[in-house]
Amino acid sequence: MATLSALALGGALPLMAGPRQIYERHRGSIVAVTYYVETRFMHQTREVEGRDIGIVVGSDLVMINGAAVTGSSTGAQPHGFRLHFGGGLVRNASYLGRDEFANIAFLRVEGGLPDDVQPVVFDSKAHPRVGDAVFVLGLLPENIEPMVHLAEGRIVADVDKPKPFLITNLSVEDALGAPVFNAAGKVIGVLSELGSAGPSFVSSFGAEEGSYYGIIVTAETLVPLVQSPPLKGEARRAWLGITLQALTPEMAEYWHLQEHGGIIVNSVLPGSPAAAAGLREGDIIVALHGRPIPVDREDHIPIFVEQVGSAGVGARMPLVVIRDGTRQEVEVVLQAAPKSSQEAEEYHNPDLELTVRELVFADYRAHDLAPDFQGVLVSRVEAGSWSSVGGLQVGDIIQRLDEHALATPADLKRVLEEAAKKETRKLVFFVERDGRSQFITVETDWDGRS
Amino acid sequence: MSGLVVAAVAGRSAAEPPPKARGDAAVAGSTELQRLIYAARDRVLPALVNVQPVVPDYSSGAKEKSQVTGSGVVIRDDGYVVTNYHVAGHSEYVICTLWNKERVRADLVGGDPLTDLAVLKLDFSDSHAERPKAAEFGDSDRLETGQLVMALGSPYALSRSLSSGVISTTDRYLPADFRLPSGERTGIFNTWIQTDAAINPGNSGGPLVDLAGRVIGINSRAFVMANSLGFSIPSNVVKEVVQAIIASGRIDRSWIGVEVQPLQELEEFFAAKSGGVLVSDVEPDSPAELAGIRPGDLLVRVGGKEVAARFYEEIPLFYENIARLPVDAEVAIEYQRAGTMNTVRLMPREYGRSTGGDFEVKTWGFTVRGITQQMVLEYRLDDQRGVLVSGVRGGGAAEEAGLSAQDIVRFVGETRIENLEQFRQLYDEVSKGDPARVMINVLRRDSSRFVLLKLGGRAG
Repeated sequence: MATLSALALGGALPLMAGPRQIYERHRGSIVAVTYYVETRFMHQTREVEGRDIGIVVGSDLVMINGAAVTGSSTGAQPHGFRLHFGGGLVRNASYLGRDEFANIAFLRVEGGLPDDVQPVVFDSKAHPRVGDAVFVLGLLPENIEPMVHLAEGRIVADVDKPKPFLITNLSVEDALGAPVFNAAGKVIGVLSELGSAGPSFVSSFGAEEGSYYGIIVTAETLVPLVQSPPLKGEARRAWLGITLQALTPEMAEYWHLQEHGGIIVNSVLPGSPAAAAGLREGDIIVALHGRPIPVDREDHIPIFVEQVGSAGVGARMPLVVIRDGTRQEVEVVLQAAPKSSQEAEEYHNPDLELTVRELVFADYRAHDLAPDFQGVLVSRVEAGSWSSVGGLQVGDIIQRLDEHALATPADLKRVLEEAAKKETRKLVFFVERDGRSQFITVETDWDGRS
Repeated sequence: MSGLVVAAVAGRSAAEPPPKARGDAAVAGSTELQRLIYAARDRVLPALVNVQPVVPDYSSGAKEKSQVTGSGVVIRDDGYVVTNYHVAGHSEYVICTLWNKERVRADLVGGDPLTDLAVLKLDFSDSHAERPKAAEFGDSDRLETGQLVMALGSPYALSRSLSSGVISTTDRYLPADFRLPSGERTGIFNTWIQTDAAINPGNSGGPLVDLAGRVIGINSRAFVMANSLGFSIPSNVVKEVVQAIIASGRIDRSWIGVEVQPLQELEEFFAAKSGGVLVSDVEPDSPAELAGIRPGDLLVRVGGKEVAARFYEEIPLFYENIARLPVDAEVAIEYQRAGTMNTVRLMPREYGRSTGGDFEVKTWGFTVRGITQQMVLEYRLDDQRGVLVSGVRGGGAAEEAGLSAQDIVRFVGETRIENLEQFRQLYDEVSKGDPARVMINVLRRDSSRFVLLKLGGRAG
């Protein structure tokens, strides 16, 4: 009888890897990624340790959910990445970069992988569908050994707007960033959350309604990223440079427009491709590449954002806009999107225990800075440090140090190195804080603890 | 347990003689002190007022009224009462309870959020109550740390309460980023008398008195999670503000647009030869900016009068001096820059009101506030045009259409909004037509936005 049943199952066996095999074969590729991130609560800034799931995806490459690098409430970049492997082995890692739309980040492993660890290989030919059983390997709490657990769920919905993705009934609670397997043991994607799939999804997709269903970022998206991981500071996404809102059916009716969707240009950012093309506040974009724009509610804005973002730097975008009641054609040549704060250059000074980063486009918007404003932004101040005692705070924008104007972190580095040589004991910073400027004196004995 | 307590008491009795048997000097001293306290109490108590205003709150997107309790003190025999702005500055209706428990109505004469003071006038037209006698003011420039003081008022609405302590410090500086519950900036022009006499919510607006029964401060703040940290507005500040309010309903101040910081450890860096006040920021398009004053300049003389601020405690006085400059009359400002002295002449402007009036846009489901010059500076707006959305009512048309607090309404339909009054008129006019929809355009973080209100009216 035993032989018979084995025979009967014979055809399916190679496919049906079974949950146990998934666990046994892949748990070694799961690492616990720890790092430090700054948070601010009631004017107090403190460092907290983050712990997330990492997946080994290459000989020195680990993938994590992008929330790890965007999670700081102060805009500081996380640091001190460490990878904890199943056997207790620990490796340092450095941050490579993040893909904004998939919200997936990559780390480079320092000192090579442990011998028995095999990178996970994503399979983009598995074509997962609603109803399929799926499995994830998640992390157990820190003090539990072994650290990996297996959870089972199902694909429960297949959504196509604002972009296609699969919803599961798996909780992201302890499996955010976990690899997702199908019943055949193929790695079909990673588990992400509704709120984090793209820049404009946060307010538009259920995260605020308390929905914690995990979604699958599929292998089609991941494979190219693994092959060529995004690098910090590298501009890949294109941008138009407008703030926008959806043309709802009610608004279209109010303005007597025939269109069933469109983009209202709320502002045109200075220096952007939109500004160069002559787009204006109040324009309504109703067609792109000759096709209508299917955005008739705020939730669907990401459709347009994705269309622009993925078109590529240098792409020509013919638009039809309605301006003052008449239709006009406008062609925009897309340019690289400005750097985000996660990609900004940083500099840490061990004597002052101070970290600054370069100002990025978003800072100019957030702080209402003039286009010719120059400075560096304080991203970290160690508690009890010389800079903290002197009164520097996270978020301050340093415009000058003594008589030197600062435009980049490298400028600060140079001036501080000079000051260290001369052992200047008093440093006078001219900073902008909450829209007001002031002078801040920082004393130091140049007894750097690095 | 009781045995233990008895033992402890017995133990102390055995070790020390009972108090009565101690030195006569100590007993006589304490009796003298007690007499002084009674006398001081009797001088101020008849002027003490329990203030219960009905104040509107627009922050929820609808006008909501509530009655609050604070304290006050009669400062003139004809019935003027001083209290805090945060108690009665926005009041629509005020009930005062006098020391003899008589209730009297009062009217708001005026208020000043920047010093957190308001003046009421008791209305005896409907009352047979005995008129209270005004309290006397003391000189707050001549106070001593350690001086005995009493605070009177209605802590947690417990009227006619007296607490006592000492002056903990005479010139406490508190950062001026503090805001009143109604949103106004406050505390720029004065330091505080700090006291350990118990000050609790409800004490606000009540007097801090010396042992001669003179009002030396108006109790206005306390650290709530701390013990015995109360703060009073010095009487000399109160006197000046109150006089102005009684005379004209308000106090006018001048403004030149400089922010300053203490010079203290920066003297060397700026080669300060003779003190001065260090300019840390200059407001865009202000008289100071137009005159060429920049951060890093050391103001040495204003209108021929020397100015200095080495420490934080000296900064409010500098701002007060600027505030007293006559508006629209040139003033000479001498300043030091890079070691050399310069003089500029500039024309101060009116400081103006902290905030504009409030208005409930009832059928549209939100509240708005007029925009003043001070709000332009604070919110970094381009100009005073438009009205600020101060609240959005849950479930209203505005909330459904996506309006947010802090949005600035720029257009209603095709009409540009210039100010609150014009907005009110336009709202009345538009509402008469009973429209089904109203399109408004707002400014939200430097970006415009259309908000289509669905009102369910009959007109298409």
